[in-house]
Amino acid sequence: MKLNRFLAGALLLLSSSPLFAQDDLSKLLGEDKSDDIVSATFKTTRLNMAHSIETVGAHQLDFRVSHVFGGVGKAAGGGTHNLWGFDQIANMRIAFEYGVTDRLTASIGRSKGFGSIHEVYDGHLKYKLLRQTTRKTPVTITLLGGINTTGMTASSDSTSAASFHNGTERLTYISQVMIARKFNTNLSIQIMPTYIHRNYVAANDENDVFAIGVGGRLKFSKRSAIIIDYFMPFSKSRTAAHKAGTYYYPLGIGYEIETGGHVFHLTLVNTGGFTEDDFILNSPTSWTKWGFRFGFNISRPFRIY
Amino acid sequence: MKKLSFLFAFSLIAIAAHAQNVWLGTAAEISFFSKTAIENIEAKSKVVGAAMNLANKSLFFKVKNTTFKFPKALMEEHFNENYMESEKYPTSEFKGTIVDSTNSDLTKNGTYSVWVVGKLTIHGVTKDYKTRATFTTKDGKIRGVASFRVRLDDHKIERPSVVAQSLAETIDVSVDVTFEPQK
Repeated sequence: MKLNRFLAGALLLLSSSPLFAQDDLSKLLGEDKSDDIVSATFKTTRLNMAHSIETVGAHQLDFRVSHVFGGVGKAAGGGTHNLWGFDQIANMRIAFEYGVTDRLTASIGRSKGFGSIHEVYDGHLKYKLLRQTTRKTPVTITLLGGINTTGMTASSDSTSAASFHNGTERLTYISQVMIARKFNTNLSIQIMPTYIHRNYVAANDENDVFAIGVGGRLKFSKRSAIIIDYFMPFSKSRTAAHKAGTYYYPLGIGYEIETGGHVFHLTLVNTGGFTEDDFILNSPTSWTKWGFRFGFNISRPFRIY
Repeated sequence: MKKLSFLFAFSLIAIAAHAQNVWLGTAAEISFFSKTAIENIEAKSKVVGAAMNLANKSLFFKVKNTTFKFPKALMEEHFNENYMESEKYPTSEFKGTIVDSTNSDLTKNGTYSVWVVGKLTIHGVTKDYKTRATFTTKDGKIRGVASFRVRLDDHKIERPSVVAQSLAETIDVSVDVTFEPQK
């Protein structure tokens, strides 16, 4: 009988326990185990020069305007007379980048061109293959495929990169894989293996160049961040040029401000290119010798429908 | 032995009663609306956890901030990154009770106009709220509808001057939940 009483007590206790539990309805709903997509790894589709893993939102048109001015230091052509390069605008680009879906962006742009190729038309497709999630997926991976052409008059100097013989030779192809992780609200890091193929190059230059890039964003307030990107090409001619002091690895350090509709980048870069082939392979001045330039990017997205 | 079986039966009743009292939200939607001369912003979430205990008339809602959908991707990003700080404060929740002077049985078919009072936590800041709500009971389902206003300042949600013209100071929030008995 003693055992029975014990059993009865235990049973009562067990059966009534849900009665206690229902006092706290919040426990009833269970814990949140969803695997959510991590948003805003970067604020825009770009770092200073490079692409970020971000794509334009579905049905939005990102209108972009970028400028790079002349070198700041005397050795890079700057100084007080031209307001540290301000009067010597090196390159500018206007582009329309459209979000076909949240993952796919199609873009066209036109820039002056910084290296020996000018009158540059660029187009690219960008696809977000994998999205970082809060639990399972550690990184976001975006693929970029770009193609550039130029409208410039072919040079008569046969050693020039612009001495084209036909339209095909004016084409440059860019392929890039971007892998990024948002470590926390404030820190995102990206690596970007890049492959550039130029159909026509100057004498002693390579048609195919592989480069590796790293970038990051460090947010220090709700609306502003420091952005950095850096590339290193694996190219014999660039390595030789680096030793000779005519080529330096491109580094961009910028300040990003988000105002609610526009995103501004105030950048310092030691190149003036906007397309990968241009900024990775044409950076003639050194950061350590005040060879960087001031530039800016403006991004303004509009919703189309 | 008789005592035991009696207790056993009693405990079964207790379980049954428990099941009848607790109702869970099976279809729920929380939306909000910001109206200014420049821009109207509307967002909606259908990923809402809701529960109601009719024994003590308690109510509970919980919504994950990142589940709110906006017409523009950028608005959604701003909402989570700049206003709600969703990584720091992932959810918004309400804990309250139904205050009904006539003490009506909400499980019976009919429409009931009641007060709901309780604490709403948004952006990590908890504040007391009181609002009218309408419960409509039909075919074993209870649908609760309420709307109230939330002042961004009350929850320490900053509204920078640059967006002051396109984001309202006070946001209209609507809740629409259909409850079914817990199975």
